[in-house]
Amino acid sequence: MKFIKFFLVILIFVGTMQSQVDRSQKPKEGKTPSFSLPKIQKGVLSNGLKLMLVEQSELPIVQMQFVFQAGATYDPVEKPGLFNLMMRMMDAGTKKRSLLEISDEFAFLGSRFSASTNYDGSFISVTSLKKDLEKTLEIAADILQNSIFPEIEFTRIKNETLTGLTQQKDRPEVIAGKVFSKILYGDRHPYGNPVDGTEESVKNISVEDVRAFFENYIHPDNATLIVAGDVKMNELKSLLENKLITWKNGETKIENIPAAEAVFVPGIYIVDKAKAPQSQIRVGSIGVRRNTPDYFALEVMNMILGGAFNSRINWNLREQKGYTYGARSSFAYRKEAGPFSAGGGFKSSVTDSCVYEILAEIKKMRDSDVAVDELEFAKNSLVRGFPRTFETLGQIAGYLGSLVLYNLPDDYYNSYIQNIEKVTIQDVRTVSEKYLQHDKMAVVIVGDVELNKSALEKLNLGKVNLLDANGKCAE
Amino acid sequence: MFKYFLLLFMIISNSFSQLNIKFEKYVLPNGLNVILHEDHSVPIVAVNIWYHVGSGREKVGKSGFAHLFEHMLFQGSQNVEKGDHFKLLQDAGGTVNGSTNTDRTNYWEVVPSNFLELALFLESDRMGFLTETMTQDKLDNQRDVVKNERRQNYENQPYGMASKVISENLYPPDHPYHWLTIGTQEDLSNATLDDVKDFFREYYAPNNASLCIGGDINPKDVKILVEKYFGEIPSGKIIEKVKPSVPALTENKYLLLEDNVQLPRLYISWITEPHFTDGEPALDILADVISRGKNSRLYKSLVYEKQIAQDVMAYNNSAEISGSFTIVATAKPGISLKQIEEAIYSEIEKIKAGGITQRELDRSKNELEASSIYRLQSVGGFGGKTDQLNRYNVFMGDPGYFNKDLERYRKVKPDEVKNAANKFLKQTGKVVLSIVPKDKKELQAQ
Repeated sequence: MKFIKFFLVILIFVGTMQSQVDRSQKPKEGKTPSFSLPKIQKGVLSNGLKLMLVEQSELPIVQMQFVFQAGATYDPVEKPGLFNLMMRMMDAGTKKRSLLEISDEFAFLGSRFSASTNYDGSFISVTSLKKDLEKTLEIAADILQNSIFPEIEFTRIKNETLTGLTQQKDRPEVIAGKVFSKILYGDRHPYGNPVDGTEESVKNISVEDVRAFFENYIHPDNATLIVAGDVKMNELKSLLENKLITWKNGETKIENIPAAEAVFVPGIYIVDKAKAPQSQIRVGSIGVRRNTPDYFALEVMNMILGGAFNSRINWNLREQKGYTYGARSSFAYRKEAGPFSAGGGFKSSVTDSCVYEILAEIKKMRDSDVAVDELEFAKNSLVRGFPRTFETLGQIAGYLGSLVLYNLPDDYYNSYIQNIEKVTIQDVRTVSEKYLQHDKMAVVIVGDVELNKSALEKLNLGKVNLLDANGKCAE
Repeated sequence: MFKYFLLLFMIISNSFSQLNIKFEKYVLPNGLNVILHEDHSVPIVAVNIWYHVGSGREKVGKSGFAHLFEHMLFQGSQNVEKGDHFKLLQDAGGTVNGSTNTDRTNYWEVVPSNFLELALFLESDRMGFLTETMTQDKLDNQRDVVKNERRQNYENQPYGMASKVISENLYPPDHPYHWLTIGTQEDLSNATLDDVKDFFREYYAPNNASLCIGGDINPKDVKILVEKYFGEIPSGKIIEKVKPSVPALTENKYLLLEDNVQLPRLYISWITEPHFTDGEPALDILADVISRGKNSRLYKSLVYEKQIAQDVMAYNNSAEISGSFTIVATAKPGISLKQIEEAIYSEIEKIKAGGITQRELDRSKNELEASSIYRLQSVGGFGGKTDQLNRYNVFMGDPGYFNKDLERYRKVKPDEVKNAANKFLKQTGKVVLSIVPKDKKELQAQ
């Protein structure tokens, strides 16, 4: 308390404070700390299940993820949403346990179970404390080997999924994403279909479809089990051999996903949300697959364009103009070419200016070289930030998952830093010219049509098309 | 709001007592609390600072200030140009954020350990040397940004205005929880540069802050750097602690909002107790037992068996000066909120009369204990170890409050949960909000 009084007195006399420390020079960094990537151990079970383990005993936690090499792109043409529905039903009941029993047993152990799918793969994630690993695996193994997909649960979960799809109409950012994919890929490529399907397509799905998909795709030969945490390889192997004794291989051959070709019509596509205070905007085109050799140059380029807070797009639209809470750009790297998109939520009355500015930033990236300090900023940010992304078990499992899913070599990340450091200004320019074709992009907007239509027409970006929330023509 | 709920249970079970978060705490002569925590598993450092001020300190007509002010802290200071705060930290490979709630404002960065000094320089520069660099341009820009944040997260979201209406009806107009932290468009428009500077002088002094530095650090070196950058910043005036102010709600308020939504949704809210009070653990466990997981009472009844609701959740939000307990359920197509409301009360009455089972209690406790261990994986960021240490320090004056807090939950008995239901989830004295699709008033509760 004495000290506080003392400082108050000082404050009165000094008025505005003068720093005693030289703050004109920013502190320089210390010596770069050493960092080594987690060691990956590999193994195979007698049923063919591949194992990848990163042992980490810092905390008594084990995180496991089964990665299956098949996802929503394998949905039948008339049944988008089937893979997703099957995964949603993964814990719906086995020969031994009901849905409620499974949920209760996991919860009682404090263990987590979740199943999900995306376009490229499907995932079953199980997390438990080390002390409960065996009991947790026992339930997970029961699910993998004995799931029966009870009809009564199917009816309920399908209904819940349909209602969820109805509710998505309330969320402009969800509509914008789905319509954007539909415009880019149409019905020609599975990436045009939503992972969770449409109300129409989910209605078509039967419990037999779900059971057949489980039979076809959820097999050890189609999977890799990624484990990170406090467990040893021999311990893990013997537990799994013991629990997964009846998990057998299937006969389905996993086919390659077809290449995605850009055949969409550039222009503006708008879904009406009357009186909306914001417009959700997505500007972009079909990007590139994950295992492209251009990956590192693209990472650097996008960091400059719109990958971070200080990137050009956010700096311009948020910090200079105040039009948005945040604007970003990104490439969705998948097995085949996922979309490149830039956008966010923007104040309604400046929708046309935002579209103009985003496209101008994209064009500038393509038409001129980035500055030396921009290149350095982007590379520093990626290289120095790399160790930070290996902190949690989830992050480590995520890295391993992408090695598996995209068929990258085990030592892929060992050369990540070198590969980023090699990128030159010319490399950034080259990939910009190749992937940022600003005059061939689709602009999707979910917002107030009446307020914005004529202003958008004046941008001369081609026809302004009115769509419904499913991406179908609404004129 | 839900983030907070998770933050409540950040402790470690006795069987894992070796996991206790080790720390060292000291106080600078200017009043700044400093907490150090070593964790060398990854070569990174987390810097986390809490200012003990949130929207609960705002005056009527000045809502949204604490949060607008948080934005201003990222706009540069005397020795940092606009944009450079982010730029320098991102160039270092770091990640940065901040947040505001009713009771506190926090800021953090996670950087490679060799950039610790940069992070301390930046945090101290904006604590000590900010006001002169606040310009009208910066304020106008961030006011627009915050208005867009409000549009994005409230106005243009389905059911987005629910929390505003509930707060306004749970709390009287002069209670600081009456308005939302985001504020109103009108009050934001009226904020002046002088307001911002006054707010800074009042609350952003070292004696109202807690600085936690965790990760790959050498405490001896860090202390020298903390002294160098923060030691010279003068104390502000002594800030009186806020006092708990728990209003009595003696009637039922039935409210109706029409929104651009597909399905009707019901919100039922009661006033409870502030955080770290005796009633809090039983209320948190009650929320768990009725809505967490498929075997929870409300999920099982409304969503699984009757299938009249698409989803249901319940949470007890105990904060510094008051608390509230809320149940939210979305009706299935064609179901009225009256039916949902009755089904909810029927389950609540069962707990009030018959209590909960030992299995339900144990399941809830086991989940809480496991979660508390899962959450020890991150040293920085929202909910990371440095954030947890600061939370206990700011509210309880003890960063090491973990075990005491866990003990509060461990010792809860089934009857206490039953008693909490009887004491707080009263038949009379609640806010019941129906949000229905346009022109579907007939679906409302009551």
